[in-house]
Amino acid sequence: MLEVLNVTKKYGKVVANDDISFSVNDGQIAILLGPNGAGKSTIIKCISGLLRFKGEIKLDGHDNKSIEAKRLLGYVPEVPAVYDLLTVEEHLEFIARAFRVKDDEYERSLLERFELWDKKAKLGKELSKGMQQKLSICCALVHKPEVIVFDEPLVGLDPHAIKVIKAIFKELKQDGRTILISTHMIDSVEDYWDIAHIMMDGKFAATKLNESVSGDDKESLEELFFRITEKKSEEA
Amino acid sequence: MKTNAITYLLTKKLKNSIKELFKKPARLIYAIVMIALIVVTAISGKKNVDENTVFRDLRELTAGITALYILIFGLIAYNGFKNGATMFKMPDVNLLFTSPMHPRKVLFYGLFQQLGTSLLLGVFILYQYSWLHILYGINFLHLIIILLGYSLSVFVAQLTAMVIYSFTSYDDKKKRIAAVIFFGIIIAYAIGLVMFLLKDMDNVLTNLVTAGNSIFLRLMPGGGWIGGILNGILLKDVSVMLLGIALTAAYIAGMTILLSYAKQDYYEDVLKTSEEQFSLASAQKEGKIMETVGKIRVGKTGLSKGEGASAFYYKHKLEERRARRFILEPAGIVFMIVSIVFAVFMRKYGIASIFAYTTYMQMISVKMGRFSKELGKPYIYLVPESSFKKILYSIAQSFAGFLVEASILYIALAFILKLTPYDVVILILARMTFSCLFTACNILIQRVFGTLSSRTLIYIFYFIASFIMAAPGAIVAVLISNTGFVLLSQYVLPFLAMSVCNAAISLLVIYLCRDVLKYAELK
Repeated sequence: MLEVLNVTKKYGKVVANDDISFSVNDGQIAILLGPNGAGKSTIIKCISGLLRFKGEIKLDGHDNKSIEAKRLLGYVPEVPAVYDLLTVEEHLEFIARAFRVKDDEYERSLLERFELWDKKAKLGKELSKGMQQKLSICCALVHKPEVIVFDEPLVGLDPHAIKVIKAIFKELKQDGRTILISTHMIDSVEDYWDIAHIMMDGKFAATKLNESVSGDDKESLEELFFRITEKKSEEA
Repeated sequence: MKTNAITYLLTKKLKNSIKELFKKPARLIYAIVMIALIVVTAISGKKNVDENTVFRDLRELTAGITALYILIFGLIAYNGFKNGATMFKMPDVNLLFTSPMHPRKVLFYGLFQQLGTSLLLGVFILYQYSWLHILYGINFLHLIIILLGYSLSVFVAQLTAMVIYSFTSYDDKKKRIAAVIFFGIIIAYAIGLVMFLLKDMDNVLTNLVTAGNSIFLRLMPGGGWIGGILNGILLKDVSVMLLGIALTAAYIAGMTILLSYAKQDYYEDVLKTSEEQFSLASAQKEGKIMETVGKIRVGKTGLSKGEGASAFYYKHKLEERRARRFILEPAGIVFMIVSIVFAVFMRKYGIASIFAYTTYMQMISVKMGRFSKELGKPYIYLVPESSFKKILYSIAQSFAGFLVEASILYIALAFILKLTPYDVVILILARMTFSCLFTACNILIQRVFGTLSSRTLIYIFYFIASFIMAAPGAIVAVLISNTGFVLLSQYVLPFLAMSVCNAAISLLVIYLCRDVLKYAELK
């Protein structure tokens, strides 16, 4: 379970996240939506322990900067993080060693699913942006984390990889993992999210539960998103 | 009157860069500090010279500087066989190359722009005023001429690299011919020099100076010609100066004509290099460090060892092997050569001043190796291990390099300065502790000012913190030296005390900053 309690992050005088609180339960997929500059990546980086902030973030009850919490976390950055001088296979070996886990079968299955197995001897710097993104996703999943945060995971992926990642989202959910996805591609998340938070100016402007399955949905996520964001820009 | 587009671009760029200096106080402070340092160096040099001062033979200096020009020319021009060179930035490629402007005009714009860049690259020469003035009695005007010669060497070398790349990059046969000519000249000169030195091995230094000032070297393309101009000015030999000017001017004109007339479509040739330099510059702006190696030989795959934090150490070893750096970094080698050259000329001032100089060079050259690169990726923050362990394993790989560098440097200096084995060991130890100290200082700056985006300010704080952290060791060494106690040799006790102080301060700082990864922010 992921809990974010009263998190505020400032860059100088600019407030990127303003007193944000929310939680994502086990087996739940939460999505963060919002226009550019809304503060989605900042909160994702705070959760991943990459930024300093005011407030509290807990992963299964552990402070997010603790070693216990790090063991539980998988993070897919917005810009693929790969090492130029390591091969595809060595990336997974490195993460597995650093996290003290080893499951060769799982490593191979991840690479195969993302069509990277035949490129396992290629260096990070030789990969295209899309392939780097796929490798970055594999690195975040290889140690089988309980909580996984994705920052714009679909950007740069080809249709096959998008299909694979969507299937992986569903599998992780069924497996009881906690998933948080930041995205601006509303179309791509319509069918599998449980809860959506729409961010504007560093705050949550709306939160919506997915009621499309029960048929109680009066307003689609897309309609809600545009109603909020366009109203804000008109006011501005 | 309608202004020419290129003139407009150049003047606007110049104006805006000056305006930018005043908009960003950090840059202004940096510029002021740099200018102040030049003034301080000039004043301190003047104080140590009076009418009774006997200067060393100026021919030593002209020979040394000619060697520097030749080295720079060779290293830069050699790029023509690899990735080529460029005088253009990406906006030039995207906007000027596609504009309805004659490529020759665009080339002249590039050449003009390159002249400015070359001048900036040689600014470090201005900081050498003090010792050059004390030893050779040169004035500031002479120093400016040395700087101009350096910039001209960089410029001519860049132009040569561009021509070599343009004419040979797509034709292996032409590339081989160019390489035979390029390396043939270098090898011929090297053989000539070695044969000349072998004639009289008792006076190697004197013979080097003679060779460095000979007409033989004055005719060496690029660096030799420009060295000749300097030689002519400093030694008041008009014919040598005119010969150098004529050869350099004819060469620049010839290369420009080759590029602009013989091969008008040079755009494609500079595109790749411009793109590479653009990604490097963008990465630097974002605080990231990119690998700058060319073609990589993968070799044996796999980390083979490492669990938890130690996985970083084994990963770094693997990366260093692929980067073909093995142990020493190219910058470290250059600084080492400069230190040895300095020691040759300053040997009468004793080991303390030479050690101080080499340590100053070390302060600039010590990098945290792959630790700095690691800070730009999320994994070092995400790995579930203690922050202290991750830091130690991430800087561990650099220490093998520090030890090798210190050993090579002081074994070489032992011959020049006639040091005892005890002195060599203690100096290696002292240098190693300074490597620890500067690494610790880097970590301290990361811990305290990690969120600062201004690299200029970070450098300023790094220099200040380095001086503060090194001060206790230096003070203790001076105090012990003044007591007159001697152990094995006169240098052992002071340098040992300094080393103990440095090691203690370094460990304390690294320990106090052990949570740097917890509080650092990914850039």
